[in-house]
Amino acid sequence: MKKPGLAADPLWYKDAVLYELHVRSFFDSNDDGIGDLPGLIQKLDYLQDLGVTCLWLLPFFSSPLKDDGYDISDYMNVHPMYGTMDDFKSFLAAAHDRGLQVLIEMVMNHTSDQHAWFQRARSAPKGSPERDFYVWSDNDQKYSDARIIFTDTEKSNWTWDPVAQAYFWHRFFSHQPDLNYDNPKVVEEMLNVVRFWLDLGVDALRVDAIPYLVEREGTNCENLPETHVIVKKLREAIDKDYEGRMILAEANQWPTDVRPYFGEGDECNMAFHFPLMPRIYMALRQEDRLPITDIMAQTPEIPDTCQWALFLRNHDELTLEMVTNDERDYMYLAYSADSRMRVNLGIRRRLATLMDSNRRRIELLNSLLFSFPGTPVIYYGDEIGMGDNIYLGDRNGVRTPMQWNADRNAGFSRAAPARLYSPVIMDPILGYEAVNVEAQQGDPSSLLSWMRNMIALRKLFQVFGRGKLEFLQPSNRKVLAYLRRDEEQSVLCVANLSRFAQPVDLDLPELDGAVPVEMLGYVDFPPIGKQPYRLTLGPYGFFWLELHGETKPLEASGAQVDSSPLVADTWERLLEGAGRYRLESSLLPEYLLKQRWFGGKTRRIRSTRIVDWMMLPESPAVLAIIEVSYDKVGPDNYFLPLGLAFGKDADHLHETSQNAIVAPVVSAGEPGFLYDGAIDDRACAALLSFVEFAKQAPSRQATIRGVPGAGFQALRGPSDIALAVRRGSAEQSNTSLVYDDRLIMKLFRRQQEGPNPDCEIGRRLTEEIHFEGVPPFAGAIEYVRADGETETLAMLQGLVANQGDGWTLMLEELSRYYENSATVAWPDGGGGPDLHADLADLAEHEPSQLARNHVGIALDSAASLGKRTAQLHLALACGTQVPSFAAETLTTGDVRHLLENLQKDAAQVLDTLKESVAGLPDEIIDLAGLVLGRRRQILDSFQLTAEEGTLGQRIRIHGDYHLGQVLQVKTDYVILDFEGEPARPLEERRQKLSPLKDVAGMLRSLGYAAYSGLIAHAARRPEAWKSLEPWARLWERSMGAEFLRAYRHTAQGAPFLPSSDDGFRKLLDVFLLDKALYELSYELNNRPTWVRIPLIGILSLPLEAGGREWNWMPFRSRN
Amino acid sequence: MELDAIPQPELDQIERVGSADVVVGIFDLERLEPNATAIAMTREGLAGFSQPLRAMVVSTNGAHGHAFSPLESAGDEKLSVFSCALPPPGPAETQQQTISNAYRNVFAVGERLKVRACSVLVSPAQMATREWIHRLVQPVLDLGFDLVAPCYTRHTMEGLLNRSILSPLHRALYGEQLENPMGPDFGLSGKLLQHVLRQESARRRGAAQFPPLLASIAALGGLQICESHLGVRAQRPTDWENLSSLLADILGAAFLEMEERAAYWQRVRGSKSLPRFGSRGVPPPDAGTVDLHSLVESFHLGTQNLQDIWGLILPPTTLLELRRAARLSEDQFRLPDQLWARIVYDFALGHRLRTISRDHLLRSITPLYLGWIASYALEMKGAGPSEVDARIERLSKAYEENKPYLVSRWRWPDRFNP
Repeated sequence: MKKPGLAADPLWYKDAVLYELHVRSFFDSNDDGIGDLPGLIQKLDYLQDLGVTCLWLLPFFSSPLKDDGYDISDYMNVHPMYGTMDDFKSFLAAAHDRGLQVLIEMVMNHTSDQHAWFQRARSAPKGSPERDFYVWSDNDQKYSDARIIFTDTEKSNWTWDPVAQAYFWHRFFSHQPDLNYDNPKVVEEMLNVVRFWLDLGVDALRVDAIPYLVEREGTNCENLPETHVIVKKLREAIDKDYEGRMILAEANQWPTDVRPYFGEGDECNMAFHFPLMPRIYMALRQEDRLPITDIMAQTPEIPDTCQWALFLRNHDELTLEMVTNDERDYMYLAYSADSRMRVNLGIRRRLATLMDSNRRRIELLNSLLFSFPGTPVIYYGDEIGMGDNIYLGDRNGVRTPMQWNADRNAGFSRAAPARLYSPVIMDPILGYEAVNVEAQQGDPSSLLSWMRNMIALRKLFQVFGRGKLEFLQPSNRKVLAYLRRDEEQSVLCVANLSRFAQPVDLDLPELDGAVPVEMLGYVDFPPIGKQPYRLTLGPYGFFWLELHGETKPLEASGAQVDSSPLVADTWERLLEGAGRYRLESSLLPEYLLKQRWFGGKTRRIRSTRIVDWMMLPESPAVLAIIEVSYDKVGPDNYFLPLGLAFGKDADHLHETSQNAIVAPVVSAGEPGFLYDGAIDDRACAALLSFVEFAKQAPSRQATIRGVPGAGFQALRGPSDIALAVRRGSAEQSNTSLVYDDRLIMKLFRRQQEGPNPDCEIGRRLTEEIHFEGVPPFAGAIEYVRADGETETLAMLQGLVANQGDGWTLMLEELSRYYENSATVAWPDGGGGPDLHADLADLAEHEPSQLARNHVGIALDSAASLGKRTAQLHLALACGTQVPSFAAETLTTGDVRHLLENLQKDAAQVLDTLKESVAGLPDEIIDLAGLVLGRRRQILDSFQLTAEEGTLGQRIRIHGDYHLGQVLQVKTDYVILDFEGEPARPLEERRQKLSPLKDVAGMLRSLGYAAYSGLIAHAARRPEAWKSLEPWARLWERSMGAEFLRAYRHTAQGAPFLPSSDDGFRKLLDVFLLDKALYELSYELNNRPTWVRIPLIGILSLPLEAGGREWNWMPFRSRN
Repeated sequence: MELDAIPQPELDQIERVGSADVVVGIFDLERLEPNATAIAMTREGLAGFSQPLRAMVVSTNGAHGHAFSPLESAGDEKLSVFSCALPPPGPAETQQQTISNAYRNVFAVGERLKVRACSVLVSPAQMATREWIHRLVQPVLDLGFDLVAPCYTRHTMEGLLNRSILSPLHRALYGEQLENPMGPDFGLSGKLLQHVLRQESARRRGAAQFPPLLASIAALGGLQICESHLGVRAQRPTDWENLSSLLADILGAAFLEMEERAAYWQRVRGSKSLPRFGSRGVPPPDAGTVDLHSLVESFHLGTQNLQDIWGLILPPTTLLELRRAARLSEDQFRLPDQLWARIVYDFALGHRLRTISRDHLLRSITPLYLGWIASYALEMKGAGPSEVDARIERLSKAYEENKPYLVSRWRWPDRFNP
């Protein structure tokens, strides 16, 4: 009856840990001096405890034992020395009971000369089917290109048989005639043998000497295509009748020659990687990773269902067939000082003796064995560090009895010592009295305990058996570093091949943010950053570091991601049913990261949560509040209208607005999309209607209400006329909806608790101060919590007809300016204005003639802007009883507190710059270095001494004032966006401050425009940079001075300004520096190539104790 | 999965029914007489669904000969209810075995009928109202959840094994904040049912208990889990005499599961809350006072008599802290959360390493568990439900915070511990 194998997973061998043992050497149950199957059964608990998962038994079949059982005389029987067939069945059942699989030898290439097939063949007539079971020749010259493998013992691959009166072919010993696989009967007989063992429930077969099955004249008789035909037949026969069985090829060949034995996944499941093994030893001795990385580079990809078998040592010699002559000589010199240690083309020693019994070296090599791509094979006894005996013949020195305890015969047998099949190892260091299982089982620090733990650890991480390998290339070649990765797990392995401690810097840019966790002790290491990751390893030390929180490209994890559409029969089902958790865990984070308005792009999103939602009345959309949690900082809330599209609408959406799609959905079998409702005209119309009719509706957690402004109707026009909706093009942190040419609604995406300053100031300036320099407030949509706290979801304003925003217009102007200036030489020898002069000094005079001639009417624009800015501040400071707007004296205490905060922020920005400097474009690094070198001066600049009451007043200000926040209306300006700097907390953005902060903001913006224009110009004409830079400076300085002159003139005498000129200048410089540092922080996170602009800005300022040290001119070309 | 516990005539009937949308198992472990209300309860529990449903009721209460008449609800053609009765549990079966068998049989029927949803109720029938069936099935059928775990309304001293070990352990291991990971009343989707059955067929040895496996199978499979408030569940009074056996049964199953799923839970960090439907009702009044003196006395006896065993399982700092606790006066007695979490983890590790016989190991935790109850009872004297919730939340966080301790010891077991 056919018995099943143990495996449930057909790829079980990828996760296996193989243990190779000889029944003869393991445990003797009947005291005859020879290990046997009942003895092995007694030791299964030990093997289960060790953690290995599959036992590889060396040949235990009937045999004259001239080649340790590889000379089989009866394939379907157990050698009586080892027990009976029933014993084998008992062993197999006992192993399976313990979850241990069993791999046996299938010696297909040859039999013993005592096998009945050979005895029959030699006596049978020439040409008879019986004779044809083996390969015969009348002379010994056939196949002369085939090498001799056992060079120490065999002189030819042919041996004369006096009975047959012919030569027979043998690739190994002369008592092992090769079977003739050109004879179909041989193939069928061997398949019967295979079926016999698989029927018993054996899980796997190691096919011995697989490359030599077929011979052909004119070839080296190895790896022939005909051999692969035989292997395919074998695999086909197994797959046809059995599940979860495995074939392991023994082909001592180069990896490229072994590769065909995997076929297309239709030959062997596994094959030994022979050339890797000697190179591991070579790399260790040479303290150089090259031999390992070199052979792995030569290792081809194999089919997904296949696997390499890796080993450090086995029952044969440490074979040096697959190395060059020089490498072989090196290995002999390095590892076999005594010539008795050598046999054939190899070294007959065990792991412990090769390692000079050095525990660290043994552990290091095992760490490589367990972490390289493949299935590790442990040779019996190596788990306790058993020694060998080079005085025993052939390879018997590594096949001595297992050392169980310190009793007689190492606890292997109770027979008289002389009766043992082999003497036990009695070396004083590695002999059985010192090295044995019993002693090590009782010692948690023993090699056995270490091996047990490592095996258990490996089994916890499927990535070791199934993941990809990627070598790192640190400059220190004594360190071998590699990543093992699959869809779910990433492990960084680092090994020091040297006998001394070694440092290493690992370049891991794509792992930025991942936290390495040392796997043995589960210890968190510092997170990986943009800089090279530095580690120090002790002598022969190694780290296995499990990478947590690694940013994986989404496609890399695609196989694991559930990509099925969400069920959207109802909004409830979509947002509160099971789909919600896929939305929250993966779809919303992916969507948010693609949105321009999402401010958390530089953070790692841990999760999102739909904290509240409501149906938007009279629309198919809902309004949702999404909480976004990050790894290291507190959560943010985002406002997200959502819509559903099906059928043609979905097709249209997919064609035109892919970026607005949140997730694929399905409803009543129809596919569609969940998308950002802000692109849905019906939803936008409903939002307007919500304000217009002051609607109010409950959400799951709060109430949402529309609040029309006093001037709504006038701005909206007749309510019976529908307004067409379009989306604003300049989307940044918010989304703008434009209703015809009448109204504009700003959706505040990031929600913060408390009054929105944009709404608050807009409403006050419109409805109370009647200031015309801002768009008229028309209404708002508010989110009112149960406790009465209010947030603003959206603000409605009258649309102001304009020529464009200040930034765009200035850049257009600059484009013309640089085109014109490119043909004009900068006046040398003092013909130009003093561009080093303080801006406030420049602002005391009319613009220079040079500026008048070249900057031209833009100067008038700057003056208008300065005037309008002053008017804004005067309006904001207008007398009021409303506490949130009342002007307050700027005390020295206020200033000290402000400066402390600014200084703290500055230190953080400089720290960020320091961390990021290596990742900046080359041409910016030296500028960054100059700024970092002035850290002290920069921080000291945030000091200001002034008499109490001389620094003016704190008033509500714009807070994020720059050219992009103003619209040019004819020759004047309208000021927009009173939200403040979106990255700062709401409370901070509503604080009253000196209006010089706004002044500084606009001055920095003019500088930004000058250099942005120059960058754009130099992108087309890199050679022009050097000659145009003074012109950039002229534009920036003269525009700034004109702006400042007009501002001071208009606001002259206003109580919010410092009372002295010196105070004005000092306070302005502080805000200019703070603004430049804020810009630096922004650019580092968003546009590293623009970092140069704030860097130049910082270096241009008069820093404390150093003055304006950086000489911007001449400035070498950066492009 | 085999339907070996179901009599052949009824198997034939199941074949004839062919397919169903829902299978509902109702097993009253307290009562062996026929439960005539099971079918009616199911019919009422499923009546609120707008979609047409075919439902199969499986119960243990020996309604042989009366089964399999399709029961059409009068005036409601959308609902067809069939029933199937199983033999009552054998006298030698433990409660855990009975629950496990009940689940197996319902799953086997569910598989045969290719159901979309399944719910199993093993709480006493008088408590398991028709609302329970609805609350366990509705999130599966209407909202697409795969596992609906129960939340019960309990008084302060109820469900302590769950509160002190099972729930915080599940949360720390699998990262999901489930109040009752072992149910025992659950709702499942057909998808989860298939997952469970696939894993069961792959398992060759040691049939594990079903309820503890369901939550972890759902977590491993990345399936959607939610909780549903069911209300008050009649709790049998604690059998103090057989507490050691109960602990050995329950913790043995939990620790085995831990060993089996180590590769998964060792990669999980942190935890997340799960959607919870319904609202927690008002807990019943506490059923009498706790004999604090006996609890503390049991702890003291343990510290005197079990030092040798505990010494093999617990590290020196823990043993020292236990000695300190033993010196406290009865009204001052406390077992800190960190200490308790580490004790549970060390016992799980001892179980995995077979440091001593597993049964001895599991039983030797009993005095420590009683000590924890004493400490909890003292802290929660007069506390309201929100304070109890906060207390359990602190304990759960302690389990999470100490998970690295568990993982490091699990990966590198070494007696040389702090």
